[in-house]
Amino acid sequence: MTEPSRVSILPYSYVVGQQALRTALELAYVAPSVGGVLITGERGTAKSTTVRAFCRMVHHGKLPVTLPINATDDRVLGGWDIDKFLHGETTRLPGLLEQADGGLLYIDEVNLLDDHIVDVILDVSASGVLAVQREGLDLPEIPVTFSLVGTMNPEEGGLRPQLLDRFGLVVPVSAEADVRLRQEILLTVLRFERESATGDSTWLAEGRARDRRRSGQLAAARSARHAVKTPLPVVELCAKVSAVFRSEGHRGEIVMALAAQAVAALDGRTEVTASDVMQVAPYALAHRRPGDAYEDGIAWTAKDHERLTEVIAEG
Amino acid sequence: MPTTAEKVATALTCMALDDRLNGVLFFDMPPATLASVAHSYAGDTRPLVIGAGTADDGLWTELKPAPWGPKVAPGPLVAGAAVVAVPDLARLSLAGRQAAVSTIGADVAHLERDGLSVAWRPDARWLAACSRADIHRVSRHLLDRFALRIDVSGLPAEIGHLPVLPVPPARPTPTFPAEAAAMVTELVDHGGARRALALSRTARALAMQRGEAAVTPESVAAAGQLMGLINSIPQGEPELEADRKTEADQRRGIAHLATNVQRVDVALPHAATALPPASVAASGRTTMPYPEDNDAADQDGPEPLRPPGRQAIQPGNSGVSIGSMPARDLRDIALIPTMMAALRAQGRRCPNHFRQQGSPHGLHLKATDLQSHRRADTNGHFAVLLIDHTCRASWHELLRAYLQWLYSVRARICVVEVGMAGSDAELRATMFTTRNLLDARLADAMRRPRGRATPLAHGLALAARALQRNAVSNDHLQFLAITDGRGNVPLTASQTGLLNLPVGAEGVEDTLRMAERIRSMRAVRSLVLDPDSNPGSSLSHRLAAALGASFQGPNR
Repeated sequence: MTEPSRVSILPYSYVVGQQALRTALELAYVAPSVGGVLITGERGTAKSTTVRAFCRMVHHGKLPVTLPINATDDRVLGGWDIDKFLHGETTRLPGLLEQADGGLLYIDEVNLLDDHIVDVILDVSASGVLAVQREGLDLPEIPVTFSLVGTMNPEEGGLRPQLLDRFGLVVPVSAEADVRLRQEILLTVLRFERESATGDSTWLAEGRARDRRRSGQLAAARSARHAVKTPLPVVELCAKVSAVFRSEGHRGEIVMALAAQAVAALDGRTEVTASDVMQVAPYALAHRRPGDAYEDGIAWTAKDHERLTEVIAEG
Repeated sequence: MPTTAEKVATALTCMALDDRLNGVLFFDMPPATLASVAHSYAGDTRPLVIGAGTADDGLWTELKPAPWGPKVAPGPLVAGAAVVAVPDLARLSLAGRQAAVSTIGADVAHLERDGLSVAWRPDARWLAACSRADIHRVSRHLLDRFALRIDVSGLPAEIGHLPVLPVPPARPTPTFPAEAAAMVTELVDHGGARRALALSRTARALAMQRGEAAVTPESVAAAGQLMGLINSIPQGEPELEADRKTEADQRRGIAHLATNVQRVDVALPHAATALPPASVAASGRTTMPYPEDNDAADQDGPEPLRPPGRQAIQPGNSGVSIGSMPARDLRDIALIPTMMAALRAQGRRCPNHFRQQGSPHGLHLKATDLQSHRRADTNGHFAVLLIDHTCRASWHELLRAYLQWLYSVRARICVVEVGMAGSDAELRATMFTTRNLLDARLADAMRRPRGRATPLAHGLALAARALQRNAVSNDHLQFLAITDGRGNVPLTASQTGLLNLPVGAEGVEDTLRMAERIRSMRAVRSLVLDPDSNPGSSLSHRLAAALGASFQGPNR
């Protein structure tokens, strides 16, 4: 059993391809109120690796708080430290939702999660409050906020609409088709494995240094994001795009505007433009159109792109 | 050509040399042989053998004795099993399947159960066996974790000379030149990265055994042959000492191998007919390592709605634990709630229980402390029944046998209705779900009068939604459609409530598109019943083809 601190994860800066996935993670970090990211796509596309590498980068080497698919509710909500309890001591063990407070909660294979745990997450996520009355625990309500980051393979089934809606952005990913990119992915992974086996790798050290620089840029953008202005025409554009794509509710345009702010902040600008909206609209709307989550899968087609381009051009 | 036993030994050696090459699937290896191989491979340690009865408790956690009572500790999957054996992958329990998906090839795995919180990098080697005839029963998602595949048909029950874990790497890890990567991507040219990585890691392990400083084209070709991606390696290219090879030699070797290896084409979905003759072994029997890529493999599955036989109830494994309750017997005891119940009474039963510092003693446990799991109801069978009320002929008799079977397996039923008269929204299908067949709404649904519009595309969209929602918690998914296939309402019209005339073939096209979506869900078995079917009517046949379904016409 390897200790978590010694778990070897590819530096984020060395992740090859999957640009949309990386962009969405960065936007959700710069603007946490976007509300997390769902990554849905085929097998073997580095979904989990990219999420873990990103979290390690922005959280100074720490792995994300992770909710595995077979977690028991005492670990999700919190409970007693059983070992200490056996010795007559009452020590509370915080659950994963509490541990994720202020950060992100990562759920790999989120569509395989049992309904019982999904209900718990939805309850806390929607109310922003964790209330525990079980096994003799009666805690005052604890304010809890976290961004959900989930990865899933849609072949195994979809998500409940309520849970899908908790994800601000959704990124469909697929395997890279470009042969050169596929070779680069292969060579990077194999080199990473080889370098990890050596105690002192300058290549890995360089990767970590690049990660520190990127993490600094993201932190700066996160601070600057609040000063980014969204002009009224851009706000109207977000609402129009959302209406044209028949987005359910108003969360679509709100998330779109927040994510566009994050794009501007990352670009070092102080004002959101229509092209920022163009960039983030697919992530904010792909899962909010009626029936999309089930009927055609979560996807942003070339036809959608064409329509979005028209709407943005109309202004 | 290596013998089958040599192929098994080579694969296991490669896995021993590379702890990221940690899942192998042996096609057609008898379960008993797999168990025997796993025991030999594990050496002095005991392999973890998992199967249809494996539950989360016992796999992720286990109970260990302690001076003051039982202690919940990380289970064998977390705390040390070097080898995990799955004698029959097609019959692995849900807990086993989830464990495989969560740990094989993962950078890190997490245990968050029963007060335990552990993160670790899993390095257990998973050895699985599955009959080719059963491969359609295993999800693609799970199969992807076993990217290294070895065909072992004809393997003798007793095989010798197997390696034992761990094999210490005798030499440094060879480098992987771009030319070798090019050859790998030539051999595995679509899909995610796991297959290409498995081929590369196998080639690297072979290169390590050969003492190569860098992986050569010969090692990639040998790995490809081991996995069944290449039928044969061309003869005539003289073997060169690895350390004497120049870059030019390597390039020449790549070119030679790339043009002369007898490649086994891995069929892309819907491309099975394009397979060249070379893709089939001389015996005429496919040796393709990834049969799940070939949609035709699905056709070999059991007939839709054919009763698979009542499954034995697996103690403690009938559903996810959603709480606890006082136990009525000793089956499925919930350990933590039991301990909590006992702990609350320790002060009363033994006033000095917690005061004896340094000499703890066991819990004072009574039968009334025992708690059992309260589990979510999952009977494993879920069926979607689509009723197209606009069918002209009577279909009730046609349906009777299937309803009887659905009742016998206590299936949950989702009923999708299309084209009934008097509906508020005639352009839309409606849906409701029942716990079983004994629901009055189902009887009502079977008596409704015929309407005018047939929003079949929307009905199939709703069916897809229901099947997708229930794919996680049910092992047996059935889709049964009673229809003549004459959908005349486009999906957009159902969604918006606005019908733009004329609709042309749009209603039928949308229907077929939705049918293909259901077909992409591998676990679903479909059947189309057409009471109107006659030689001149092709729509229901087209629908059945798009669904990958069986078809039944009227009993004449």
